[in-house]
Amino acid sequence: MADQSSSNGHYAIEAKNLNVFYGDFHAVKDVNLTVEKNKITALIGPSGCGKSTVLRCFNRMNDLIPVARIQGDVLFHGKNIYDPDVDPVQVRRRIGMVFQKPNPFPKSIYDNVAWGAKINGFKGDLDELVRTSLEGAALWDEVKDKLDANGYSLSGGQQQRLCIARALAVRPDIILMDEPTSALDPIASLRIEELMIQLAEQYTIIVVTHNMQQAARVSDYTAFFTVDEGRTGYLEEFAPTEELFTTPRSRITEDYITGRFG
Amino acid sequence: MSPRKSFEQRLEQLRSTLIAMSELVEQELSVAMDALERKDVELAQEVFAMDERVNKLRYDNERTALLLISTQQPMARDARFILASLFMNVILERMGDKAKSVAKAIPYILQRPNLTISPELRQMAEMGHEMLHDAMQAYAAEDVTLALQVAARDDDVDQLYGETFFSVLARMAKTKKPDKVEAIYELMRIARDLERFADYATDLAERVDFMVTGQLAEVNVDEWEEVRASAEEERAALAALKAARKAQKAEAESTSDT
Repeated sequence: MADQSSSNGHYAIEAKNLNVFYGDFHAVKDVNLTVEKNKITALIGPSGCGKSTVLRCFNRMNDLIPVARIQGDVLFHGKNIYDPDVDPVQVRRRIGMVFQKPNPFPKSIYDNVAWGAKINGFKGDLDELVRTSLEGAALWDEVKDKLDANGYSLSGGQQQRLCIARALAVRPDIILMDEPTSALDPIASLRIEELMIQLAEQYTIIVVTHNMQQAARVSDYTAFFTVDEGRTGYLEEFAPTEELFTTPRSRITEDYITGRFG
Repeated sequence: MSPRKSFEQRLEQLRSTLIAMSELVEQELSVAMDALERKDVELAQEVFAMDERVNKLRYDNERTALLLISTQQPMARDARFILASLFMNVILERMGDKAKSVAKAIPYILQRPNLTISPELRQMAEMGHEMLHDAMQAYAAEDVTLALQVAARDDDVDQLYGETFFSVLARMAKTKKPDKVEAIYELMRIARDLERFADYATDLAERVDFMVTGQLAEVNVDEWEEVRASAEEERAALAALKAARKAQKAEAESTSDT
C-alpha cells in the first residue's frame, strides 16, 4: 500500500464515523478515534462492547467474517484502507496483529520469525532480520542458542514474544494486540507489558484488553467502549490514560473503572 | 530486565522530587535565618519565592502519587512507599511554611534595628536543619536506625526551645519600652516555629519507619508527660520572674526611701 501524504502526520491511524454490522446486528456505531503515533492506545470496555471488532477494523481482519459489513473510514496515512483499490494483504503487512493466544507455526523459532519476510520477498540478510526481530521482542538472549528448536518448545510467555518478533520481522508501522496476555501468568504478562512500552518507541500499538489495570499500567491513551440499550457498542470516552483513570469526564466511564458495572 | 521497569522509574521520580523538595526546604530555612540575623528584608523576600516552588512541588508529587495509585496497583512495599511519600510531602510543605514564617517576622523586627537576635534561635535552626537532612537521608537509604536517631533528637530541640522561650520572656518583661515588646514577641514566635520545624522532622522520620517496617506508631509517645512537664516548668519560671520583679520593686522602693 503506497504512502499518501497526510495532513495529520502526528497520527498513525484514524477511524471516522466507523460503523460495523454483523448481518442485521449493528455491532458498533459511530466510532471516531484518532490514534497517535508511537503511543500505546488501549481499548477497554465490558464484554460485547465492540472493542475487538474495532481493533479488527484497523487491519481489515473483519473482511474474513462473511457477514461483517463496515461503514465509515479508517484512514492510514490519509488513505481509507477500505477503498476498493487497497489490497488488504498489504494493509496487514503494515498493520500487524498479535492474538490472544500465542499461535506460533509448528516450525523452528528461526522460521517462525523469517516466514513473513520470506513470503514478502525479503532480499536482505535474513539472519540479521531474525536476530533484530527477536531482540526487539526481548527474546533473543533466551533463544539465541536454540534457533532450530520448535516454537512450541517455548513457554507461553516466550511463545507470545515469538509471535511479537514475527510481527516485527515484516517491519510494520502499527501493531494491533488482541488481549495479548490473557493466556499468560502474571509475571509473563508484566514482561509483555514492559516490552510494549519499549516497542512504542518505534511502533504504534493498539491493544484490546479486558484487564483495565493493564490498560492503566501500559497505555498512553485509553478508549472506553460500552453498549447502548440495543447492545450496540459505542465509544463512550477517549482520553489520555492518566486523565481517564484519575478524572474521567463521563460518569459511565467512572462507574466502569471503579467496578460499579461491567 | 525487571518486569516493572517503567513503574520503578516512576517510583524513583517520586522519590527524587521529594528529596529535591526537602533540599529546597533546607535552603529556605537557611536563607530565612540569614535574613533574620542580617535583618535583611530583600533576603526574606527570597524565602517567599522559594516557598512558592516548594508548594508547586507538593502538587507535582500529589499528582505523581495519584497516577501511581490509579494506574499501577501498587502493593506491599510499593504501596507503603507511596503512602509514606504522600504524608512526607505534606509535612515538607508545612516545614517550608515554618521557614517562611521566620522570614515574615523580619519586617516587624526591623522596627527595632538594635534588637539582639538570640543565639539560641540559630542553634535551634541548625538542629532542625540537620534533623530534616538526616530524615531525608533515612528516606533515600530506607534506613530505620537513622530515622529513629532523628526522632530522638527532638527532645534536645524542645529543651532549647524551653530555654529560649524563658530568656525571651524575661527580655519582654524587663523592657521599659512597650513598642519593643512586639519585636521581642516575634522572636518568641520564631522560636515556636523552629520548635515545630523539628517536630515535623520527627514526623518525617516516623513515616520512614512506617515505609520500611510497616509499623504505624508514633516514635515519641510520651507526649502528655512532656506537655505536663513543660507547663510545670513554665509555671515555675513565671513565679520566679514575678518574685524577681517584686524584689526589684522592693529594692527600688528601699533605695528611694533612703
